[in-house]
Amino acid sequence: MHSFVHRRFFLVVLWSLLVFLLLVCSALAQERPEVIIAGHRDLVPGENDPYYTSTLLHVWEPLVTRDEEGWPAPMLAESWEVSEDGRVWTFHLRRGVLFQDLTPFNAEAVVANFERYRRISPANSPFYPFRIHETYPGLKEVTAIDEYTVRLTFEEPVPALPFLMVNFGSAMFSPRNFREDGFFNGFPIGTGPYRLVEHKKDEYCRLEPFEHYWGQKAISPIRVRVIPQAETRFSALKAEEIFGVIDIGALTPALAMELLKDERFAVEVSPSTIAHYLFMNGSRPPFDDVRLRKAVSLAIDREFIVRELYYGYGEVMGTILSPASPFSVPLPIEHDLAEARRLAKEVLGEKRVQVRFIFPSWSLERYPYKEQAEYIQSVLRELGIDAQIQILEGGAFNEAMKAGEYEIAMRNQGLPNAEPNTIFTWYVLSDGAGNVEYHLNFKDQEADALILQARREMDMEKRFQMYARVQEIAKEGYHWIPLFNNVDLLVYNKRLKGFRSLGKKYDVTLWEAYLE
Amino acid sequence: MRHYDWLQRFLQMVLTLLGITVVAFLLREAIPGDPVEILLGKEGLFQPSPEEVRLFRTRFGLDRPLFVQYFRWLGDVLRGDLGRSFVTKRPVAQEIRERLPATLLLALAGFSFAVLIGLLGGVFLAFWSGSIVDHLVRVVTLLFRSMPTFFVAVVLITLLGERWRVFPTSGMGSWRHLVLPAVVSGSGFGILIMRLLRTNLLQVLGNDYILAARARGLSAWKVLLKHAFPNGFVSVLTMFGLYLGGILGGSPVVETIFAWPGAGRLLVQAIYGRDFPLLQAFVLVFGVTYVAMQMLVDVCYFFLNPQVRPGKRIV
Repeated sequence: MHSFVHRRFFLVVLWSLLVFLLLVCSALAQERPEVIIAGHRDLVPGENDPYYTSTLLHVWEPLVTRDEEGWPAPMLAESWEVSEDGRVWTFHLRRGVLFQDLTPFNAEAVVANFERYRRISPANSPFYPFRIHETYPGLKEVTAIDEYTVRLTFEEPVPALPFLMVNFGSAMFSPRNFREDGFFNGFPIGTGPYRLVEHKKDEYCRLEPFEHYWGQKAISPIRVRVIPQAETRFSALKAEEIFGVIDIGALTPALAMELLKDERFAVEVSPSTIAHYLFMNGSRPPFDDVRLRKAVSLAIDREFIVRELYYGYGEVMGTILSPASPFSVPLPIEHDLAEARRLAKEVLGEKRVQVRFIFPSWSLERYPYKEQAEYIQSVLRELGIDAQIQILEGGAFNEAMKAGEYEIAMRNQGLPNAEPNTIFTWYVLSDGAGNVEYHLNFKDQEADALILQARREMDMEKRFQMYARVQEIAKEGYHWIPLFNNVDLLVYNKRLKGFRSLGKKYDVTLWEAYLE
Repeated sequence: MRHYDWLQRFLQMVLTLLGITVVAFLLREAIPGDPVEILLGKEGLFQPSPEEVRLFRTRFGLDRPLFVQYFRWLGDVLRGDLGRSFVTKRPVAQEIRERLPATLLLALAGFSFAVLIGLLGGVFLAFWSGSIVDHLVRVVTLLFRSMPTFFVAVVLITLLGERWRVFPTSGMGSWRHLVLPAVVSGSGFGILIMRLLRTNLLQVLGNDYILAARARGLSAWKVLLKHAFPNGFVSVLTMFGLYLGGILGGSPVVETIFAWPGAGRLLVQAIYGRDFPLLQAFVLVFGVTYVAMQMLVDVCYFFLNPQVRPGKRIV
């Protein structure tokens, strides 16, 4: 009798344990819930875009990426070397990588991608336009040496090639993904941890983890919604319709601060390649005089702007090159109102001058530019400069700058790639396109020689010194006055785990994100 | 005589449409900013080479004289080809077609809401004219009408979306996503109809035939709805025509605030991006729709009141 009862009891316990284990396994086996985040624009421009999606979505990967300090780092290319004359670059590819159509990533695929670059260039994009002659200047030949080695041969030395190739400069897709014209014949097929599975233009896109990804696999499916207005994104976060924000201008500082008062939210600070500048029209009075330009720079308290208008989120700059670049040197940040007044008086005497101070209206959606302009207007008043602020629509702003119909223009500026020569050529070189077009009128022979010489310099240390000197010279020109470097405030709901910024990689760990 | 009146009306419509095509085409000359620079450049990061600019202009026919471009574009339009977007390079017709359903849905929902509150409110206020309720409603609606659309939108999103979570704050999905944008979109027009209808009804109610109807023993509601309303409604119908004529414009403000993927948002993007093929197509399609709606309103007038004919003087 007793043994019968014990047996029954044992069977009941065993069955209960089995059922419990089944339930636990079932819960574990359930897919993670979809993580919903939002940005202000559609990060999937589509099949006629050179990249189809933003790099932020991790659908495709480049040969060369950026590390957390901003230096070129291996991605699909594990390593590379350059010949002594700088004309031949050899890339060793990562093995065991599959495209999302399960075809292998190898040298043949890389060669096909470079052929595609030739077909599509020049190609526009809301991210970065693709110009093969700028990313790969003088490219003669792309050869597959073996299955995992590719050689790029150039007509002239290209010492900074990896810097030019970072991210958008070397996006890789499956060769089956291209139309005859080189653009896409369907959804992008990259090697990234996410596949694009659905896209409704200007509404949302859906990403699913790629189960055969070569690296750390993504945890959750992601839905990236498009919500153009910052205030609406704010409300959506509060209502828990979305759990985080992404992309530049994710939230204005004021809205981010408001959200952080709610203990449900936290913030990831993502350094940006975007910095804020004043462009000074050096082609006519009063700013054709470097002393008055210097006075303007000295009068502005950059720390005040970042502290009061950006709630401390920003990095003040003394150099024209954003700290996002590994070549940026920390030049002293000057604020000396007394010296500014002295210089202004030296130039203007007792006269007052009227100047036109412009900035584009689209910047108001991301930054407190109106308040910023009003602050600058107030300090200029003390120098005898009466600035009339004009907020112009984007196209009208560009027209005004090109026509030279301004004295001060305020605008942000990003870095097109990791090679500073590009931005120096634009704004510091005497006949640089930006320098001439925007009437900055900066001319310095030493800077010109250094910029041209650095293009051929193979020694990294020497290049670093050359670029440091260019920054020192440009600083003394005060034609392009740096204010501060921007940071993106990625506010997120604390239920969203694994969502973190990757420093100067300008990226967030989407693949680690999941909802608690 | 009747056929001649309609023919005259039709010819007027054709001339109007031609005028619209000229205006649509000349937009590119009126708006500051070179589309080539805006499209090929990127916030000062890239400057297109002269060769790139030349290729772009040749590809889109921008290197031809203006009148040649116009007639070529007009010919394409008459063949149903609205061109390709400068930005996406997709057919303009496809871009607009993809966005139209969302805009039409929002517009019709807004219109329905406007008609509902407008007609019901107008009749109600006319019936209770002079009462405290009448005064109160008119003050509140005036206050509401004087607030900008974006302010109303933000208030509704904050209260009904964010705080009380009655409706979603943004996006397009279920019927619940439609409510807030429809209310914002239609409330202004609805209040306009309400006040106009109330005024019209009160005017009509002062006529002798209304007094006669009441004297015959008809109830107040019957007099209001059967006799006064048809006459008071005629000028409200004109407002419907104006509203429906602009239906395809969507409401860029409402669509942007609520992240509604309609034609209005596309229009804003086209303006900022100087996407002239898209802009021209919008102006053209809006213009044609507007003219067609006005024609429809005229036809409705005729059926409502056959004495009203184009060109006919009513002694």
